[in-house]
Amino acid sequence: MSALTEAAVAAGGSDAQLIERSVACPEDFALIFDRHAASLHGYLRRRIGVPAADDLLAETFLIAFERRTRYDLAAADARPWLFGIATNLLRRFARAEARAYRALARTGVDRVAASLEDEVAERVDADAARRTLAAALAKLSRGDRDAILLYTWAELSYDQIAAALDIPTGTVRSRLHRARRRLRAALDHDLSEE
Amino acid sequence: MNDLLELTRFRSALPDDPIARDRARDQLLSRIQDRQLQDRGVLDREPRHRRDRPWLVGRPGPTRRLVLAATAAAAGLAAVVVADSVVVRDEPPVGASAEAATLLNQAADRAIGSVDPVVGEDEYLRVTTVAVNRGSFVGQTGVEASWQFTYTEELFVPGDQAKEWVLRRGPEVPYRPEDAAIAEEVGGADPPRRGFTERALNGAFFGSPPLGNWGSPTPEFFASLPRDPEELLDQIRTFAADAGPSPDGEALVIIADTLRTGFVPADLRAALFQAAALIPGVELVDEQANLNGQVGVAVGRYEPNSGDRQEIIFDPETGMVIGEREVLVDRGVGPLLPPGSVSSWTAVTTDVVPATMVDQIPADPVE
Repeated sequence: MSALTEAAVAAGGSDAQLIERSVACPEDFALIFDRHAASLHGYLRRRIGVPAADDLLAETFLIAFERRTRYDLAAADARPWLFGIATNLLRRFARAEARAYRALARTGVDRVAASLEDEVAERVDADAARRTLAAALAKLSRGDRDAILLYTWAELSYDQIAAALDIPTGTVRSRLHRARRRLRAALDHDLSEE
Repeated sequence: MNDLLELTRFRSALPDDPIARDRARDQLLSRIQDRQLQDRGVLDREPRHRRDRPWLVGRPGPTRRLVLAATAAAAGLAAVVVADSVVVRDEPPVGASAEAATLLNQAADRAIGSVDPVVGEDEYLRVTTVAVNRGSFVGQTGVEASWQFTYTEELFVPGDQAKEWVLRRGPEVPYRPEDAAIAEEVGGADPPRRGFTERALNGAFFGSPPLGNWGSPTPEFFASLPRDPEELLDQIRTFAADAGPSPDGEALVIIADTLRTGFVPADLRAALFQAAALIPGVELVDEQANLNGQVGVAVGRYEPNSGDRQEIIFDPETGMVIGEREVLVDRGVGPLLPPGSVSSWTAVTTDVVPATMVDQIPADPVE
């Protein structure tokens, strides 16, 4: 049993147990929110800023709640499931997300950060590496971007990403490999020019 | 340079906003409360009856009658629950989500700016509809079998009032091979309908003229409607009365059914888009919705009392309607339609064709 699952059990059962209980006692589902909303919220805000991230957070949990009867009870940790739902919802914003990366690469101003920070912070220009990275992120395919950001920002494991995206673990490996190769190539290229 | 390290640093110091999170939590709690009320009040939920084409209203098949009766029963119960949950909610949401409203209003602007096809005296407006519907049959074991079938229909509306309208419908065929297998297995269900060609003055197919209301519209009815979105929505709500699983849900269904007739004038189409933007719960569902090969945006409304979502698909750049579809969100029907499936859809296109072409359509059923 992982440390996370252990702690979860101490606090009232694993996610799977809570979700199972919530079929008969819907109010128990609120505990799933309390456990995972903060990390999901952070991830969504990092990808698309506000207000979209705030809306998607609510939507993710509404959908999860409606689908709770179909939750795979063998999965003790609900994070891959929740991030999977959120990833599907993020598709609506794929173009806006890429536009924000491109704008950051071009102008040095990050719209997503600007949507969250006060005016002073907004004016702080990104350094060259961040701009390069933003340009490279914009160029990644949606699937590769989902995989690498679930890995680095959501801190999901290979298997958890596979569960979230409903793809084989081998595919996660190849997506991460490809995404990292592209990001490295962009950063190295940028470095060699300076 | 380490790519993972750079990526981990990227936007790593964004400020947190627990208040926004509390709002999301409140929405979840409100949904949980609704569901608890529903569990107490409604034991069984049936899909709402899909309005058939006006000229077919008089002749529902056995399955449709079955669903109709069940829906009427469920609608009565659902109305009680809706009234109940109004008391529970703090304040009702106002109108569609910002994203959906923006797209609907943009489509309305483009529709206003567009010109309706001009149909000459020796021409017809052709409305081609490709539809996929759900057939179902409750066997003696009480288990509901469900499958999908498809058909194509062409409606020809003459530019010259004195001429006959022509309705030509292809046979209903199973949508996928697995649908054929299930339909065959259950037997005893509705046999698939054969194709037909009908001709009638003023669209009075099968001897019954359209009634000239929301359920059975005519060009004259469309001309008589207000173009102010709020007034229009009031009229729709009055007509919907307590039909369907909820007043807002039924209003959007009526708007979708009206738009898919394919002969709504541009200014009314604009007002219908704007009216949809006023309905609470309407939201952007898909920016790249593909319906029978045409891509547009899908806005829809999830109906908690049925577990389904009604969607309208349109091109926000042109204000043209691509069609509508219904998605099973948190319920499935049989093995072929798990939750998340599109249970029915209608794609509509219009063009103007010469009378000579329509005159040559044979009277025989379409095979």
